Amino acid sequence: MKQIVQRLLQAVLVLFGVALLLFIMVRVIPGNPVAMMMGDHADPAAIERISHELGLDRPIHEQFFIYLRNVLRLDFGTSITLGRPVADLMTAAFPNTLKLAVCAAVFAWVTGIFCGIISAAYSNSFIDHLFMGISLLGLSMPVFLIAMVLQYVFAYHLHILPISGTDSWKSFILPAIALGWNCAGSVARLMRSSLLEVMEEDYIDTAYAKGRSHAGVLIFHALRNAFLPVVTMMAVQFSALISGAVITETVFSINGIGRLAAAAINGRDIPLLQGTVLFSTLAAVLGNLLADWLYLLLDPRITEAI
Amino acid sequence: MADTVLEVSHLTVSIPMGKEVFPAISDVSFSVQSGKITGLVGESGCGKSMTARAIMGLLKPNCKITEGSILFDGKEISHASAKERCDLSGNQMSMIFQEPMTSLNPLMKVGRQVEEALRIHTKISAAEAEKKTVEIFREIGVPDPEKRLKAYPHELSGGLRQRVMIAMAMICRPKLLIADEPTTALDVIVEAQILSLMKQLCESGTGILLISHNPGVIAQVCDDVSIMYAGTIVEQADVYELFDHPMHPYTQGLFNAVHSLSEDRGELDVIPGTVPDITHRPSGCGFCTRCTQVKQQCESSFPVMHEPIDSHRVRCHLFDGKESHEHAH
Ligand SMILES: Nc1ncnc2c1ncn2[C@@H]1O[C@H](COP(=O)(O)OP(=O)(O)O)[C@@H](O)[C@H]1O
Ligand code: SF4
Ligand SMILES: [Mg+2]
Repeated sequence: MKQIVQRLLQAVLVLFGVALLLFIMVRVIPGNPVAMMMGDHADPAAIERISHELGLDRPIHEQFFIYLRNVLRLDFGTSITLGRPVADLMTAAFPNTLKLAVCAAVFAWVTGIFCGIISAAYSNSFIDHLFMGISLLGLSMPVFLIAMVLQYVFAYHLHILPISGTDSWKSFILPAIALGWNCAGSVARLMRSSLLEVMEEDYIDTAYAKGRSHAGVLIFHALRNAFLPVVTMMAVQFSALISGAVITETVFSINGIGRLAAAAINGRDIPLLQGTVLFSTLAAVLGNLLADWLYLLLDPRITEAI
Repeated sequence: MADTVLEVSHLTVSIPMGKEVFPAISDVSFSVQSGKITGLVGESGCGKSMTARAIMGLLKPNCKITEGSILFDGKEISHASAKERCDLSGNQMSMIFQEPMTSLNPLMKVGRQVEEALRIHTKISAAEAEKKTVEIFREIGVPDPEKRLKAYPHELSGGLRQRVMIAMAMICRPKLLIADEPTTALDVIVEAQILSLMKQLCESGTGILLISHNPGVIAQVCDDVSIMYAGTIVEQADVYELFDHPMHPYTQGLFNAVHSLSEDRGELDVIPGTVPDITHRPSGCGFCTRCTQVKQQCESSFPVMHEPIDSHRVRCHLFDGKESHEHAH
């Protein structure tokens, strides 16, 4: 119980810290951030007006409390480049990011876990070397390259899947694969090494000595133990996926959080940047909490410590 | 005369390393009678666990049985198929290991782990299996069995965990139980309890192979004893004969170590030197690097098993030509 409270407090603290950091960053950047945002040839009157709108002309502590209050209300102000409330933009973008994240996660985990188990079960065989080779490729290939290859082969050449957009579920297949490729590679490798490690444990011998077959040992004893580290990795991966995939969303023209973040950076759009960064932080924090909670659920030894 | 449950003859297990193949154990022969406890003693690294694993079919993939036979209940099992092993293991023959903490699955309640063997080998309902588990827990002295059933391994003490391991191994009433250093990780009081439990179990007809590096443990409960050194059996006799007349220099050294410790609580009178690694074993007698009575032929020629007294065998050049009359080769 104490540990849970501690973890929650930590999460709140991290969120507060990131909010504070964002606040400070905007203010310590030399020069007027609004002027920077609007470029070299901006009208001074307009700069004045926007500074006023953003509250940048008030005393600093007042600014901070207003900022904090607004953040708590999920009010991040109006995007300067897109001209709409940041909250609205993000609400519109989130479902696409969520769909993409879920599809990518399902693809990555199903293939990663499957390949990892097969590789471990037939370790050092041809199939193991093949899977591990592919996964290494997955880890070392940049997302945009995978994305473009997929687009070229399946959309441009074979015409079996849409090249971009979010019109149907089919549109999510290629981006999900492109985005999930890396995750699949790391899950496969961790699953394999974790399973091989578990198979060396004494309780695996005990299970064989009881009369379990190879498959029985794997299913009833090895897999659950081997999953523990993988589950943590998956929770962290999911929080990363959900906080938006800048490159994938851009390449496949998906209107999601990642593209908003990209737009915010390109346009020096401070309100939008604050909104997207805080959102990613929240996703990361929740992902870590989820990992802790799953571990608690799966490993009785942890419950003891709480 | 009791039935022989296990008859190991001339067993050799080899491990390829680099271009060479090294025997981890060679020419190992002994037997286990039902209702009796056979002890296997030797310092660590002598090949005791390897012997146990070979019998259970649990050898690591790099280790292969290259010679000899293992007769279990009259059946040859040294090259049994995976399917045959599944039918035998946990059912007719079972094993408990040295480390009770790491030998139990940490994520599974101990009750389920004990039941598992029953569920694998018999068609039994969940309720019935649980009842039997409670019964065996009670029989082997697990206090408060209904509650312990639902405990996870980390919630139990070392002694209780080892009892759980024993319950698991015994629940199908096997003909053979192999206990590989079952008390090495436990304190002396718990060790005594576990040993008397072993004694009690063998009275119900199970034959037990008890492995230990401690001759004291063996002296307490065993009927027959084999002394193992550097992968071979060096001496073999019933427990009284062996402790009264240890013949092999290694056995004598091993026993002296225990005696000097218990008598004057002084310096442990251990045999100087260490067990040679399997890649560095002498071609002659394995003990020649540490033996105080080493003779010229010891380093070059591997001693054969002699039987100077009936049913007391020793593998040492000191006994060359001293066979008892009936068993002269
Ligand atoms: N899988 C293995 N591969 C290579 N050598 C091994 C393996 N298992 C055991 N050995 C070696 O075989 C010898 C006997 O080991 P073991 O049977 O565990 O001894 P004991 O149980 O008597 O302490 C040791 O020298 C050990 O290092
Ligand atoms: S054979 Fe030789 S070296 Fe070996 S125990 Fe006997 S006397 Fe010692
Ligand atoms: Mg051992």
